[in-house]
Amino acid sequence: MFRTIVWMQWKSTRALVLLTTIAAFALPLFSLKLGLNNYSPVGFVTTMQTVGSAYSILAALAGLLVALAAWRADHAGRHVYALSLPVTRPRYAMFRFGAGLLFMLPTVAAMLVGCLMVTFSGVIPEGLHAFPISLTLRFALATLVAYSIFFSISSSTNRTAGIIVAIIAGVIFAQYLLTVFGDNRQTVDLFDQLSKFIFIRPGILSVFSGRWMLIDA
Amino acid sequence: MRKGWLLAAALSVALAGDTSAQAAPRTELKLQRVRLDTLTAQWRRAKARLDAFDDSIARSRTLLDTIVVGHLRVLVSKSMRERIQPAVAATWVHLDSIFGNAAVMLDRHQFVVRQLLDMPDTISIGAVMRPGFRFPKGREIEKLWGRFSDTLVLRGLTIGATHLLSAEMDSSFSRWLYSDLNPDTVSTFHWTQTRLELLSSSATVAQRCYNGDIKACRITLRLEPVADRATEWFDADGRRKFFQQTFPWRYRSPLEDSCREGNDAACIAAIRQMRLFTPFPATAVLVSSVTQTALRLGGRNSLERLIKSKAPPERALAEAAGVPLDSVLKVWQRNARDARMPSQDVSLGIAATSLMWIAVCGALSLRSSRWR
Amino acid sequence: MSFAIETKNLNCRLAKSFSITDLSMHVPERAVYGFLGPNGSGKTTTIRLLLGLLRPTSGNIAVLGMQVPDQSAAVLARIGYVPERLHLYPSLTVGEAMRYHSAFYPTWDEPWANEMTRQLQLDVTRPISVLSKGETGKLMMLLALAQRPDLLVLDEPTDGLDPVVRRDILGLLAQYVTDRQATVLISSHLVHELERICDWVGLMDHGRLVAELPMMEFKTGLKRLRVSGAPDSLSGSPFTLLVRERGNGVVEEWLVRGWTPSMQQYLESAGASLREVIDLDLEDGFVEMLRASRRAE
Repeated sequence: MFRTIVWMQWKSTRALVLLTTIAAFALPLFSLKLGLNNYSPVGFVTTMQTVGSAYSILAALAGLLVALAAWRADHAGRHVYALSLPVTRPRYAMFRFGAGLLFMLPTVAAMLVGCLMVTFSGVIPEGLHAFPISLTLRFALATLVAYSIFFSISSSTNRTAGIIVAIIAGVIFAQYLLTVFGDNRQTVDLFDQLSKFIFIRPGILSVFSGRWMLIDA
Repeated sequence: MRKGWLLAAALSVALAGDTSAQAAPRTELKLQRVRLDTLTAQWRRAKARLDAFDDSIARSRTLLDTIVVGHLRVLVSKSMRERIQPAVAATWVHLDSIFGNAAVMLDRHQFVVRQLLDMPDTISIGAVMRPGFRFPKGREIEKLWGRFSDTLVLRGLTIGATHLLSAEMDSSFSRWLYSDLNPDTVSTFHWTQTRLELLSSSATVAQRCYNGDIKACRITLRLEPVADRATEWFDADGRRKFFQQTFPWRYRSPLEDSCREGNDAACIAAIRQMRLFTPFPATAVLVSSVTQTALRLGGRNSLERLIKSKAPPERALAEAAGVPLDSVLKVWQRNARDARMPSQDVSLGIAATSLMWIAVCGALSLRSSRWR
Repeated sequence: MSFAIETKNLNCRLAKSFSITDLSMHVPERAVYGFLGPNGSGKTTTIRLLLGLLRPTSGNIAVLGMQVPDQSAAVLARIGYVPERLHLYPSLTVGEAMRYHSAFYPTWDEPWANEMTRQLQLDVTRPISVLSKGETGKLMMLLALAQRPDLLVLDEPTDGLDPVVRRDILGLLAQYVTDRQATVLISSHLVHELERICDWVGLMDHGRLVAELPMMEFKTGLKRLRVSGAPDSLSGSPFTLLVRERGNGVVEEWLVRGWTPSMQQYLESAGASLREVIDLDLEDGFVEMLRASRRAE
């Protein structure tokens, strides 16, 4: 049953997986090329740090695309077919979740290959070191976290999705009110508080924060 | 006004000198008259500008109020005094902590934080442009402006104060320092840069310094002169790399080309011929972090000692730190070695946190309702 | 009598203006149960409740002896379901859809599925997204039958299909029911279509089950009577008087259920005189019963 779900889901996801796989392979090579445009190692590392955010963006994007593709077919049929199959809902969702996790593997593997190619390219400036394994591990974790979040949201009903959107809208509106009517120096920055809550460990997106360095001192 | 009279008197003397020369040809006399007219016109224009400037200062004084906290004197727009006062107080605490006793020198200076009339919530920060105030030649305080915030005031005034104090330093130290003095604590990022520059420098001496050779650190920082930089800064590999990595866009002489092809004698000759226009191997990052280290070691009076010292940089640093130079360099080298910004390391904590969230989100999605 | 489907006092509120109210239905085992009702009467909602796709507000549902929704997965393993609209994944081909579907049913009959594919002239390589309505209907019926279910739940399976396809589909259904002795719940608003194949009828209107009776009784027992001189109230009537309308003059028109010719004596004993007995076909009966139920509301 799981194999069939994997096969079916692969049909609707493969184009996206191919896209993210190519991007994951190309990104380390591209960042190296940009880094080599600098003549000093400091500039090299600074460029690597700037490009580093692209790794986290790619991880989020890969997770988002695969998660949405996992439920797209069921959403289109309003889940009638899925619900009429003789399998409990948690088991079905688990199969879909597991299938999506598998589809992350090509992207992560491509990232590893790209990073290893950069590592063994022999053009890394003196004094700098490459970290292909740890960057790939971090990329894998970030991809899986993003996938899990978007999968979870996508699996929910319209009502739940509405609640999430309403909370986000509420925060934006509250911040607007605070900015308009509050004292500038004492206004609480909700976005700042929220981002601290989310991005600082053990926040849900903590794996995305910090420096993403393939090559560092 | 007094300056105006002095100028007029000087012109009269010059003219009198000219007229007494009876034997001078008529054309010479004509030329002198033209010169007199030009100078008189210039004097009038200068006087008009000075009067206008004095007027504008007088006008400003009616709109500005003075806040004095410690040795910090700030002219502020009257309408913003209440808002700016706490920011200036916080700035003084900061300046006092990083300048120590040298902050006394700020008494001679004045800053202005002015509200921009056409943008009510926006301020500009700068020094008062007024005759009689000492102002660093060619290094005027940058005018910062932006939306009012405590941080902007602190940043603007700190930059301004640092510029002013830098101008007081001995010129040999200024030249060695190459950039502005930064008396604040070395940031983590700055230490990382220091470490990176030592590690990756084509000068072999910098790498030896990184590995703990303090004499090499003195040479790297140009605190100890060398007889032949080509052989004392570099080894053969470093010499070749220097021409490969440094300034690759500039004109390459045949000697340099030969060096790149592996001819070490050509490398040595090329380096000996070369004039360096930027500090090497003592880059701005390295000298700045070592100066900051000396100031930290020297405590509260260190900046004052540094500014007042007329000694060469190696002694000025030791005087500021209150310890021998090698001790400063040891601390500096150790800090640089230990500096490494947390980058891509996947710690157990990050991995565990991520796996936990994957499990939580997965479990939530398993609860996906049948009821649609 | 044992029932393949049995609901008791089932209630489900979906919107302010629509709810299933106090639904108690009984589908006997091995019966072909026609689920009749106009569009929007609640047939599809009831079917979704029976399959566990919707949660009831109150009441009890038992399907094939198991409780729904608690045992939905086990129940669904024995049910072949053909929904009202295409629910399959359009990115799959016919063959892929069969392969996917079969993975969930251990009882899937591969040889028979292949035979039906040939019989229904379905091209296994064609994507579902480009199938015609008739081909889609055939495929959905094929999938429902090839899993060898004990209960078939068909929600308007022939709606919008041409007569040839309709005949193909109903032919397959009839063959399967004969061979397997399976129970069928088939909903439709096409009364004549059900007349030929059903042996029980349930009539839905406005979320209520208006009537539930054997087809024979529905076809033969529903009559329009023209009566004169009847008293205002009848007591101990052996038939069910659904509608009583005053016509021109003294003659009244009655719509009755459960009528047999021997009941004429009862009318005469009550002082009424039977002028005429009019047979109703299924569609007339369906319409009259709906009217009667709406008047009663």
